[in-house]
Amino acid sequence: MFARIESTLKPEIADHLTTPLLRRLEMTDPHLRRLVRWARQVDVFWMDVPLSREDLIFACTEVLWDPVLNWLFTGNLIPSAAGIKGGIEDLLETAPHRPGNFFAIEKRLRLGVNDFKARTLLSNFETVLRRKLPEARVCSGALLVVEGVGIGESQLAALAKNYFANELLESWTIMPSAELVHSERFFPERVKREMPKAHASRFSHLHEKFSPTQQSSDEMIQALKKRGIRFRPQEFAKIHQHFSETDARELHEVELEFFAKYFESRRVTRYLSSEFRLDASVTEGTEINRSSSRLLAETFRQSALDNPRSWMLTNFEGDRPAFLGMDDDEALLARFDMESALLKYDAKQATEAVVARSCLRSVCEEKGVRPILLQNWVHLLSPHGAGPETRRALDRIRIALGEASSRLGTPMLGGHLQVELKAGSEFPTHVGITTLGSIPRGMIDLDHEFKKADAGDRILVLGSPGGREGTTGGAQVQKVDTLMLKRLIDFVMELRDRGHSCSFQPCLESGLAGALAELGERYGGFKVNLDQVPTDSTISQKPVEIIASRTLERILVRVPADSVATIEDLAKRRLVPSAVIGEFVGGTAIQAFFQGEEVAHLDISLFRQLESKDIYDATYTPPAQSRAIEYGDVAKEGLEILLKILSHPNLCSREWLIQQMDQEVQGHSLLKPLQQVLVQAEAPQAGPNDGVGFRPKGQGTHAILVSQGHAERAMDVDPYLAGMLAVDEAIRNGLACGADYGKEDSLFGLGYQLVIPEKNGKMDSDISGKLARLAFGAYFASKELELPFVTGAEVAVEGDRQRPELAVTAISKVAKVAGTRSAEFKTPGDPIYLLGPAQFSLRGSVVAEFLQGLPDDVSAMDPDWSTARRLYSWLGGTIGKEQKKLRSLHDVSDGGLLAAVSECSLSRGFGALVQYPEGMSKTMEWEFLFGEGFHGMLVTSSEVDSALLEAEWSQNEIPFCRLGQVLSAGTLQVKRGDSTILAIETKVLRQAWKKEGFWE
Amino acid sequence: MSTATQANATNRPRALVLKGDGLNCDLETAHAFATAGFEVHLRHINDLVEERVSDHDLFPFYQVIAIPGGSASSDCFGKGKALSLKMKYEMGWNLSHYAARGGLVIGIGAGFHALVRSGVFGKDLSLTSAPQGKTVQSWLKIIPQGQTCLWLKGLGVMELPVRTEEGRMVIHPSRKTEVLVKMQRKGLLCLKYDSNPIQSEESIAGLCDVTGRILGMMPHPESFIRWTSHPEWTMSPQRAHAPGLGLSLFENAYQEALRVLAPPT
Repeated sequence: MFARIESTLKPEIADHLTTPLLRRLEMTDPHLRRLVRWARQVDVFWMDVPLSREDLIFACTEVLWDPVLNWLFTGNLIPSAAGIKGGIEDLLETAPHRPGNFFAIEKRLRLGVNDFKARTLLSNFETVLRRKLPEARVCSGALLVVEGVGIGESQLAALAKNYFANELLESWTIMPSAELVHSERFFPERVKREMPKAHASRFSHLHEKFSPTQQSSDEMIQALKKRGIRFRPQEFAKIHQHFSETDARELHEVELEFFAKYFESRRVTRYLSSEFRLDASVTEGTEINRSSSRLLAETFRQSALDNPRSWMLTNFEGDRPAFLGMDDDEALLARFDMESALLKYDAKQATEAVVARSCLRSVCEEKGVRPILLQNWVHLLSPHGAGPETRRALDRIRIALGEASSRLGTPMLGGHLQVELKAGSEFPTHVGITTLGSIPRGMIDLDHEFKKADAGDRILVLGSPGGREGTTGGAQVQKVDTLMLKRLIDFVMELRDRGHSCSFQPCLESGLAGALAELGERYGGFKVNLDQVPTDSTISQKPVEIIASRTLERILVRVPADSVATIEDLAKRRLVPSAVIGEFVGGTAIQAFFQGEEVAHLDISLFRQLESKDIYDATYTPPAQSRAIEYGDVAKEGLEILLKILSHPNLCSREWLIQQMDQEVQGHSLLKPLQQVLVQAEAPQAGPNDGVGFRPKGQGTHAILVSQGHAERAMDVDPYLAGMLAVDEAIRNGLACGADYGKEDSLFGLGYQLVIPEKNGKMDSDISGKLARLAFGAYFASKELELPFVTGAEVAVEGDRQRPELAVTAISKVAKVAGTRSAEFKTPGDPIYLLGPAQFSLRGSVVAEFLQGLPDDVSAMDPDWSTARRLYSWLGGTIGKEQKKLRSLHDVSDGGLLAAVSECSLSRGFGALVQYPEGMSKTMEWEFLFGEGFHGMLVTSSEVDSALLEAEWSQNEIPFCRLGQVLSAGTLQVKRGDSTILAIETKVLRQAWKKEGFWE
Repeated sequence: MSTATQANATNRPRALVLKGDGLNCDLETAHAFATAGFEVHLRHINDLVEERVSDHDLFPFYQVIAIPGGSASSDCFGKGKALSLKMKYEMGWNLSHYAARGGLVIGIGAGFHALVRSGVFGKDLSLTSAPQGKTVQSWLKIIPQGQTCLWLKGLGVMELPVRTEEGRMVIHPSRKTEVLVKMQRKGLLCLKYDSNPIQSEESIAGLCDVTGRILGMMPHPESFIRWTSHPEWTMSPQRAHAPGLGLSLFENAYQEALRVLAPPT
């Protein structure tokens, strides 16, 4: 029977779906918010189910109705499940303004979009009715019921488009109040009309072939573009030449899609793998002497060759990170994934997709890597502070990051939010996700080479049926079914733990075609039958669409023939859809069939052979000198600057973001991004930590730390310096958390994430030059500090940006958990020291950004690597023996020394006395208090231990300076000689740092 | 000597920890029971359905059933809904009967949702999202109430992590007073938040049944088995290998399970 069911929370229960929507509206369109006086959301289901009326009433009552919380509007099906009148009028009568002007916006998913809510409803119906319902069809949507004055169609359209529906995934219509209170929409005939219609058969006749001998390369590119098969001209030229000369024949569109998606999958290291022709200006002032370079091979990967380590179990090559030996039994893998282009379509879905990709890529490595930690890097450009689009996008990203961590059961331990208050697009530049995973060492193929499949091995596809995502007419953004994703991850782990000899290949942004091409490249020739690929029942697909579909939560598995039945049986028990779609046949040919017809026959070697190699010219023009200005008296202006620094969007508290993420699941987290104080505080309060830590084995003695380094402002000084600074900061942050450093077996690996600007798919020579300098700087610092890069990723960002961006992640280990340290001041009276050859400069500092200029006599910002190695070796436990006496450790970076002292004071509310001698010049004072640079660490110890520590620092030639002490009174005091130049209460600092309401 | 080492390895109480379909806290919950001394069986729900394991088969073989936290499937219809339907219709489990026979049950987070939706604590209760529609991820002070709950025996105020989108307890609006009086009289209100950011009614953080053997709670004790999980542990790093307060709940269950296994003569 056909039915429409509407479900809504009772009026007395706060509507958690509408409240955030109204909050976003208030934040970004206050005028429209004023017009909307009341709103409630109603879930809608359209059903075509082969059930009797009694069975449907029973199933709906059991699955959809919670008598405490919600009402169901069902037409006349279950009138008792609503209020007195049994319909939506009950809800409307609770609006504060009666009789009121009511409207509704109805939205529903477009055809072929993953409707897992409907699938889950059906599965629950099957549970309560104890029988399968293969013929049943359900689709889901929602109604937003609104009451207000002055609301017309244009306001409702704005509400629908910008706040309620995503037009790429959902369609919407306006429902006037007359229609709302009548019950025609529940009539079976109308429900039948509104149900999606599936085509009876696929368009098998719509196979298209293209003839390179008849058409030019450009003509073919244009013709293919209309069919959603995209090539770059230089890529396609080689294909055209090969199939018009060497192997002159017609090409089926499926074959072309294989090429297109294979090339797309190879673009994950597109820029760094290319050759850069370097102008002399690019290497000027650096330790690099080359006229051309392949950046990936000669910087990041070279660092691993320069610094071989016993814990590096495999090499970092291709887009495959190195496996890191965590202990005798387990290995770690760190993977980065980044998304940029799709964020403007739907920031939430795109963020969920990048989390899913990152996890799936990790899980599918070797015999299966268990995700144990997630991190994020969100990068925003905002021309006018936080504009409405940015705020809305960020709110969507926040929700996605929070949901991802809780639904995947993997802790999201912090991340980095970077905001540039400069010109640029309003949309987020990119979201980056780091996944750390673990795998028993015995399961890693140390040769790091893929073994050919045995003839007869089967190809299984597991996961959701293919939808229209990524195909012509389908949405580019992917709606991720996190429940299926989690089932897939668990299933791969179960296969691993049961000892099945399988290999996995995720279907990611390059769809089934890219996954099949990679599978062939790794394991040899195969035949696949595209008829067998499960597809969404509401759509019909041509063979080219079947392989183009980007449905994410799918993986291909190579399975020995004798294991197929067992694995399919297990998949059935775990509710993971599976289907055998082909088998390996030996040789080097990929063959695809559809309805008995061969639609693709390609030799695997052609993929590599026809891949184009890009060459980029790189030049470098140093940035213009900063405007020369004189700074005022730090005693007069310092306080205002300090508060401004703490409120800077890149430094202020991200509690509102971080506390949406599950940091405790798996029970292993050790050091959280915010150091929360509960015991002595009236209410929980927090301050920042330098990194995060977790015990990968729970009860083990060691911990893994993850820290990040960024140097976005230093890019305006010199990208080479920025590269060095980012590496130094990541390492300093790791050391601040207690990482071991300097011993042969001290696990300490680096990872890069690069954001590369391009315009119309191309990178200009100036950006190439900056990119090369940035990579050279990072490479040189890693060489000096003797730490290898073990992983990395790049993302191209379309737009007018003029500089690349680098984030460096350090993955380190602390052999004894007790050695982990947090940043907050712990005990009043503790002396505060500045350690290291800290030569702070105002160049590239936050202060220079605020004041928009620099004094004439500003210092240079230079690293001192040999002293840094001594300091880091002492902190990392390689030299000296008194490191354990340190009570807190925090690095000095963004905002300088006073910002670091303030951050250490925040969580416990202590104060601090910072004292420096008289006689400094005005610029030197600013540099001492607010300058930024290399190698600076802020530490405290007990007064009793201070003499021992000072003796050890002197003995090891580690520069140190006693700054002052921690105060029990919650006041930060800065003294020049004996005179107080700054004094401010810690609670005021905290107010500035928290900047509540900045984003919401 | 810890309770874990006192137990006879061949005669240890058994705990059944459910896994699968989004019960993401399965491993840490299993670890918590194992640390307390239990022999832990981690079983996929679908396997129990397939094997038709009824609640009669569970006791006395398993002294404890644990429904871990996570994002149990179909949370679009209320967290824990699908799990409660599965337990009721596919597994045919009646946890109140199981408890009456001497078994212990704990539902944490999504597991608590499943217990509430199964009606173990009465039909006039439900859980929903905080009004602001935001996830709460924070360590909070939790205060045990009364003497009914065996899991919370002897425990005082403690801090535990709470991580939920839908942890707000709601009592049927038209029967609120009556329901509250009844619950208080029977000692069901066993756990409250000190501060109440979720705006749970009556600050309810957890409930037990009338026997005190079934406990449902939103805070996650399995995430505080080690002292190093506590946000402030770096204040006293010398205690890095000390147990966390969350372990006490599992140790209480262990003692009770031992008592049931070998009742005093």
